[in-house]
This record gives sequence, C-alpha cells and structure tokens, in this order.
Amino acid sequence: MNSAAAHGILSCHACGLVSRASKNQHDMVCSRCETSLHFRKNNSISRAWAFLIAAYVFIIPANLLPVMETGSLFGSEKDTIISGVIFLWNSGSQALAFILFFASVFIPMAKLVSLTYLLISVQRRSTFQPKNRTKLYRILEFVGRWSMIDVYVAAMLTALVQFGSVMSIRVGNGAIAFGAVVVLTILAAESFDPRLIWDSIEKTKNNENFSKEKHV
Amino acid sequence: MSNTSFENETMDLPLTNVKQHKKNKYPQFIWLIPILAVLIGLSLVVKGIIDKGPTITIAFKSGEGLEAGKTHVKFKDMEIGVVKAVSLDKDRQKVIATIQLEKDTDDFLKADTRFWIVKPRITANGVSGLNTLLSGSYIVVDRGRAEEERKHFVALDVPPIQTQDTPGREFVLRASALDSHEVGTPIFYRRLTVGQVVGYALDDDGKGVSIKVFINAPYDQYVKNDSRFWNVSGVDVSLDATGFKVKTESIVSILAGGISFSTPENLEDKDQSTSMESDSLKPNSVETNNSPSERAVADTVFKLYKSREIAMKRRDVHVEHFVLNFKQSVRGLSVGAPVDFRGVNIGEVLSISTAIDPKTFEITQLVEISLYAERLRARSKVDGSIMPFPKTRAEELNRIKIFLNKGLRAQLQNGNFVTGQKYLAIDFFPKEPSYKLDVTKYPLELPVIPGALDDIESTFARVIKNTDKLINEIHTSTLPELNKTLVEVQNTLNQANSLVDDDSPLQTDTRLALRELTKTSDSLKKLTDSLDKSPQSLIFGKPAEKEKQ
Repeated sequence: MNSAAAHGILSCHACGLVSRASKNQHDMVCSRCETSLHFRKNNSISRAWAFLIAAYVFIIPANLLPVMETGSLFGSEKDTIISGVIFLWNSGSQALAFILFFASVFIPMAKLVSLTYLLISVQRRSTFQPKNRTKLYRILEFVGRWSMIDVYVAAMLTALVQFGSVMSIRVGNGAIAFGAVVVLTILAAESFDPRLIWDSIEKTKNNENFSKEKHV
Repeated sequence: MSNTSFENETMDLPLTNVKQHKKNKYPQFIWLIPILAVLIGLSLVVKGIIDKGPTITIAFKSGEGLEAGKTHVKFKDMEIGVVKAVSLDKDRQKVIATIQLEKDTDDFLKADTRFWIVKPRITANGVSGLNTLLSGSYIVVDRGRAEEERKHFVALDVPPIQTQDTPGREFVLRASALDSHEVGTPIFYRRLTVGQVVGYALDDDGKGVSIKVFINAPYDQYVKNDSRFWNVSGVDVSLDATGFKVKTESIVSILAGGISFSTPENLEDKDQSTSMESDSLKPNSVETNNSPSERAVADTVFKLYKSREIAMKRRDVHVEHFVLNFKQSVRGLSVGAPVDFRGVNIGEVLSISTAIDPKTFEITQLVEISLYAERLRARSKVDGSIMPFPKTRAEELNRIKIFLNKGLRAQLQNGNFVTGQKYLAIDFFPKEPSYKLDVTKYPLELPVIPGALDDIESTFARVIKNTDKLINEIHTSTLPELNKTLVEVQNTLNQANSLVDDDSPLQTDTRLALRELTKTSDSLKKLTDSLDKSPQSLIFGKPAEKEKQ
C-alpha cells in the first residue's frame, strides 16, 4: 500500500495541493483552485490508445508522401523522408543522413512501439521491470519533441525559398502527416499515466497479501 | 500498524470539494481522433489508387539519362508520368524502364505510341534538347492512334521529326542509295520547305533504300500520283554536252541536302518538262483544272530520282530503243548524252559497249539509244493537226523505213569543244546510199555516218600521211643523190682551192704574166709618150739621141 491513491489521497495537478478524497470519490475538485481531481489521469489508457492508433495511421503517409516539393527552372522534384536520407547519404553527408534518419524515422517509430508496449503491459497488469518501463516513458517524453526537426526544416525552407519560377519549395502532404504523427505521439505520451505501471504492482502485492491473510 | 498511522497522518490533509459539474456524456469522444485519422488515411489510399495511372515498360538501348524517380515522361511538355525503376532485361540487351503514368493516360497506350528520350543533340539541321543539359533527360511520348493497346514499348533511338498529331502525310521514296539524306533532311516544293525525311531503311534484299518523308499539311495536297521526287543534295555540278551547270536549291540544302518534288504538267498542254519553271508562274487554277492526277494517298511509294532532269525526263511514255554501230571511237560520248534532232533533244544514250562480227571479227562500238517519240510530235503541213503516233508495230516499222529511205542517219557530233563531250545527232542525209533495215533485230539498228568533224579529221590524217610519205621518199631516194653531188662539189672546190694556192704553178704563171703585162704597158706608155712628142717619128722613125738631150 505504497501509493497515495490506495490511501485515498490525491494531488491537484494544477496547484499541487494534496488532499483527501471525499467519500464517494466522484466529481472531486481541488479545495483550493477548484480543478477537477482524479486519482489517475482520466481515461488514460483509452485516450493514449486513441492517439496512438491515429499516429499509426498517419505514419504511413508521412513516410510515403513527399515531404518537400522543390521546383526549379529545370523541373521539379519531390522528396520523401527516406529519399532525403538516401540523397544525403549518397552525396557524402553520412552524418546528416544519420541525424535525419534518427530524428525522422527511428524516433517516431520507436515512440510508437514503446508506447504500444507500455499500454499493453499496463493493460495486462504486467509486473515486469516497472522501473525500466518508467525510465522508458521518461525518455519518450523527452525525446518526442525532437522529431519535429523535419517539419521545422520544411516549414522554414518553404518560407524562405520562394523565388517564383527560379526556385520554390513547397511543403508536401507527407510533412503534414509527419507533423500529425509527432503531435499525436506527444499527446499519447501525455495521456499515458506512468503511475499505472506501479498500480498493477501494488494490486498484485495487495492480492498476495490478501491471499496470505486468508490462508493464515 | 503502519497503515493506520499513515491514515492518521493524512487526516490533516484538506478534504476535496465535490462539485456537481456537467457529466461527460460521451467519455469515448476521444476515439473520434483515430477514426478521423483512419478516414484521412483511407482517403489518401483511395486517392492514391484513383490517381494511379497505368504502369508501362519501355525498353531503351542504354540507361543513359534514366533515373528512377527523377526522369519524367512528358507529353507536350506536361508531365504525365515518372520512371519508377530502371533495370536490365533478362538477356542483358536492353534497359527496361518501368514507368508509372498518371491517371487518365490510358489513351496513350496504343500500339503505335512512340517514346524516346530527349538529350542534347547537334545535327546539321539544328540543335535540340539543350534544356536537358541542366534539367536532366526526360522521356517524350508521342500518342499513337492505333486501336490496338499495348503496355510494353521500345523507345526510339532518335527522336522522330514530327509527332503523330502533326497534320500531313507520309510517303515512301525508293532510291538506290541514301546519299546525303538524313532524318530531318528538308523536302522542298517550289523551293518552299514543306516536309522532312522522317526515316529510312535498307530494303530487305539490300538493293535499295526506302526513305520515309513527311509532307506537312497543307502542302501534302500537292503530292500527286504522278509527282516526281528528286535529289537536291548539296551543289549539283554537272558537265555534259550542254555545258557546265551548277544547281542548288537553298542554303540549307547545300549543307544538309534535300529532296524536292514537283508534279509535271499535263503532257497534252506542255511540251517540255524543262519549261516547268515558267509554267509555275502561271495561275494555279489552270494547273488544277487541267491536271487529271489525283492527290496521292498516304504511304504511296515514289521513286527518288538523281536530279530534276532525270526525274522530269521519265514522263516519256513512248520509248523506242535503237542501236548504232560506230566504226570510229566513241570517246567523249557518255551514257545519258543527248540524242539531238536538228536541235531538239529527242533521246539519250542508254549504253555504250562493243560489238563484234563473229565472221569477220570486225569490232564496232555499239551504242544503244532511246528515242522519245513524243518529243518529235509533228504537225501536219497540210491541216496543222498533230500527226498521230503509229499504233501498230508494222506501222511504226513502215514509218522508220520511210525515214531511212529519206536518208535518216545518226552521226557523232562534238558538243563541247572544251570538254570534248559528244552527242548524237540524227538528221536526214538524202545523198547517202539506201539502207536495208533488218526488222528481225531488236532493238533496230540505225545506220550511222561519220560526223562532220570525222571528215575533217580523216582529211587531216590523210594530209599528214601524204606528208609522211613524201618525207620518207625524200629520205630514201633523194638524199643519197644529194650526198653524191655534195661530195663532187666538195672535190671541185678542193681542186679550185689548189688552183688558187700561193705556190701553185698557175699563181706563179699569173704573177709572171702580170709582170710581163706591166712591162708591156710600161713600154706601151713610152711609145705613146714618144709618139705624143714626136708623132712624125711614126713615119720618120725615131729621132736621134741629140734631140733627146
């Protein structure tokens, strides 16, 4: 019984005031700032799933559709993320290619997979390495915003390189999808409540205790 | 227990307020987000499928300029597809480009649709595809019109000159050699560029070349069934019995060659093909009204002539062949040399060879000629109407016999003294002995007489021969006599010489005689002197010495 929730105590996530839950434990608001209070994030798992699934859907066009459409005097070119990586790699900028690949392909995918794993593990009330899973969540949260680099670059170039027919860059649909992926994963990570990882452990502990008491 | 103590400790914490706020009736509202995402995703997929046009393959000779994802397919400079993949075919002979076309391009996939790659190209006719130097190559499609559909194409090696929607028609020219014609060689009609050579191929038997030409509309209507095509390649310099000629069509044709065509005017109205130039100045309506020739249909095969003369000459329908046996040299007479009747060109030399009489082994120069009877259309002196052609062979033979009896003869004439080119003249020589025509021979043999120059030549030869003989005679008989005489003269002179020598007896005698003579004259003078002094002495004799003193 290490969690505050088990003791009927909860904190306000707006002003941080810790208070005791009322008897029925419903529709509680902070006595100080009147923010509605929950023991755990409301609908955490289903919200996370919803964002995650949406992100999964958008990651497909994000990788297949062109991110940037470069038009110049001598024809136009459409680049997807992968083609950009390949171009950078072939043109000798392996480091840049690696950064682009890491930020735009690897991290979003890793985020999706990690979040999926966290959600499934929580739903199955897994007790497997709760500390590492929490660490994974922290990393996810931190690293998430970095994958916006791609979108920033495309948006910047679009704004800067507009010389009419000589040279112009447009943001492709892929960039929009990619931005959606990044935002959705951030939202999903936000929705996920890492305390749930520990709740299942608490519960199993309680159960164990309960059964022990029963047997005794 | 720790539990109870913990609970006691927390009792100090404030209790949460309970607020009856509006309850979320749709707690699963959040699921709209993935549903929306799926809908967007699905719409993208559907759009992708709908927008996706057909996939085709094009076989290229080389992969030069082909790049997956970069090389576009263009139609009228609009992108309609892109190269998806480039690979070698199984037997490593060709490069296969897989091309993803955009939607609604199914009508491009006809059996006669042509694809080719645009690269910078420099030819005699101009420079093309320079823009690809910077932008990279692209594939151009020329939409076919065939019913049959196809998805696998073979790219053209060189770009076609015009796309299939260019109005106009194609014709085929057959020639013995390609000469300087290339794809793009211009076609001229009355010196206007009206079309181009669009392709050529060696005939299967290797004995000729078929040249495909494209005549742009509206000029294609001037290609009639009896139109003639001829070469105007470069500068045509010819040297023949009629003189030295230089002909060109245009500056472009000088550099790149060209083909010209024209439709001969109707035979009945225009006598000479060479009068075409002046005819062309006449109003067109006359020509179109009178010309029975139809517009040629596409892909009609024409013969490509070497020159305008040859092209226009061939419209003679009545061609009669004759052979001539010359006993003298035919040097200077070439195949194609004109046959002339009192200044009218009525035929040409077809071949020059040697004939031998198997019995006598007499060798003659056999010249085969063709006569174009139409060119000798004669009007009757009586009523002015044109004499009809002999219709049957017998009639024809009869006419030739009549002409022969009148002294028809062929003669080798010098056409150009500078170049030594000769031509054949046909004329009547009534004084010539009659000639028996051998009607069984084909071609008929016409009698020949030595040319005017031959007469002079033979006379000259005779003179030279006589002179030669004379000299010979002088050499053989007169010269020894002369020698003898000269020796005698020499002897005589020698003798004379000895006579007048200083110590010769004659000389001495003469000198003595002269001395005597002097003496005599001296004494004679004395006598005359004394006589002068004393003329009486002649009678009385010499006076005494006293008187002298």
